[in-house]
Amino acid sequence: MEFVDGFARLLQPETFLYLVGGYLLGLVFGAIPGLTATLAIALLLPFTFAMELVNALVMVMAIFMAGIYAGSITGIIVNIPGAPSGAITTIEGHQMMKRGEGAQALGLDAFASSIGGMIGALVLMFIAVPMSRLALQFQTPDKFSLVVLALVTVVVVSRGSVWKSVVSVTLGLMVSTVGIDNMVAQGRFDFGSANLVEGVQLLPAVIGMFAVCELLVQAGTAKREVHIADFNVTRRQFVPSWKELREIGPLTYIKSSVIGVLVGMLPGGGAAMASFIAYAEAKRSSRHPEKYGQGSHEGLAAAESANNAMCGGAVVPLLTLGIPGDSVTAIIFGVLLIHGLVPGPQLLENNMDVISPMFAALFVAAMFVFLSVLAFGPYYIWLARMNRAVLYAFIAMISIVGTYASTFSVFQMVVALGIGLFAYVMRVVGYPIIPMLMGIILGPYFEEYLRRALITNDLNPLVFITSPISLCLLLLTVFFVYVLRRPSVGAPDG
Amino acid sequence: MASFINREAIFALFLLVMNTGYFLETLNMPRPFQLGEPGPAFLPMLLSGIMFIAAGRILVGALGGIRTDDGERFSVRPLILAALTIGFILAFEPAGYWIATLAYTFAVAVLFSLEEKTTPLKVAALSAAVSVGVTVIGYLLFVTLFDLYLPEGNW
Repeated sequence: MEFVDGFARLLQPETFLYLVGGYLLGLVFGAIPGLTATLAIALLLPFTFAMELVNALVMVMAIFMAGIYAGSITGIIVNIPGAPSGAITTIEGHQMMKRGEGAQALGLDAFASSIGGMIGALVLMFIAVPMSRLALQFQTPDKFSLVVLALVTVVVVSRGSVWKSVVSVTLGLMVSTVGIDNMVAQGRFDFGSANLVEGVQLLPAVIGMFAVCELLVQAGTAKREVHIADFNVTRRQFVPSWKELREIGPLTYIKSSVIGVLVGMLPGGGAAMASFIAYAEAKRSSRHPEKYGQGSHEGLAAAESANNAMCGGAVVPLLTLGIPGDSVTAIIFGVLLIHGLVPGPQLLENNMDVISPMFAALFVAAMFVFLSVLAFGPYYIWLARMNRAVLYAFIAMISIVGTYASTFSVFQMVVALGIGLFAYVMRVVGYPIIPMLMGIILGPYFEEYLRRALITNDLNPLVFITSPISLCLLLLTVFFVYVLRRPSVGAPDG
Repeated sequence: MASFINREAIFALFLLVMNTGYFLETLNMPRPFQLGEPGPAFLPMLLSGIMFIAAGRILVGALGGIRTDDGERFSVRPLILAALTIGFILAFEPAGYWIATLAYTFAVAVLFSLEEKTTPLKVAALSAAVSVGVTVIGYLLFVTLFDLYLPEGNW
């Protein structure tokens, strides 16, 4: 009954405007490289003081859902994902764009996001508490093995030399070790620079690897790589055909969404990891793994369902256990605290009137995703026919100035450029970039869980195989390596 | 392709040199397990070992003539763009958002317009229009809409 009340609350004009406003804000921030949903929600935080709590939470949920989805729009159109969550979708979506199937790619992308987002929201509504108890069973060795699974997966799904993928992921992990050690007060690789004490921030790293690197690649490309057979797309073309949906299959959507929810519930999971794991699993079980990396509909749908389903999963431990799993849920934690509510087991029992509109907002925002591609899809395609001077001058400005605006640091602009140049050289020599990004994102968790697991088990490394969950995850890792490195399996490049 | 093998070998060698510096830096930290826990040097040493093996394997392969992948084509224009971006970053705070961004986006627009078969005057006119448009949009987005700070310059 409370859930029905939540939907009813969204019908109030003021709340509905916050929902739509938040959705559009998330769409803009998610689509522009260098700006993220996290940044949008962080910027919103001071304004929530003056907002009614329900409106603030509704707006935050809409930004979250739209921001995660929109990361793939520019990825598909110009090969620059607006957020790390869109990286895998970019691999398949941009290949489709290059062969003149941009509208289909955007349509399948939005459809999968809607399905995944709605499944994630339903899970949040109905099985939040039991599922959070399951997540609570994960001990530190299990979390370490989960991170190992994600890192190994990203190495094995990269096309070409496995040694180059290993180098790439190792470089990312090395970058994550820069700065003060999290467990003991020991500076590492900061060379006495105050700027490096806090380590390399994710925002300039992402901008460098995707926006700056792509700008450099495009500068070296004499002519536009994107060719669209027909620019006069109609809105009908954004609706996936029955044949396409049957080819992908309902199981792909459901399985990937479940993976997204489960990964989202784990601290440090996040949309990028959810899409990587769902993509790898879809490829493993696919009847056409050779199409992956060449514009596979199935791969695109799997990655995109998972990263939007993650939104619902990520909120579960926050609301039921009081544990924020990532930066977005940490900010939602702050919104609740500002209004005097403490996230935890009592929250759902005592404040369902406040929380149920938040659940409903996540569900409705997921529906908006598909509606928005029907409304704005032709304008997304327009990005690809935009004059290169206009497009790349805009991306260059927004990426470099965006880094400054969100960090207030010229040094972080230098970091973004430095990482971008390094990533460009890696691409010139044929190294995949995405394993490096995953190394940077997961590095802190990898190290913390590894060290904590060893410390709490008398430095006994056997703990990773004596814990049943950890053992299952490690066996799954071995299984993925065996299946995905078969010669017949073509894997996508980063 | 000899040039590809060479640049692949050079990059692998560069990685090994960089990794050696990284490893030497770990020697300045407390030894792993010295204090009864893995310690801050444990993971960096492990990563350094993995990097020696992987980059070494690539170097041996490249010197042996094994071509593993096709990379991007090399061109001088990315270097020009990188130099423009370095200039922009250096000028950003002293010159302020408006002047630095107008100049940078003009230069980037010229760089991407040169491939069009058109006259220099048209390139300059288009780039000037792009530069003004992009700079104004950037200001409206960052300052007016989201109330973020951008430098005004040391004037």
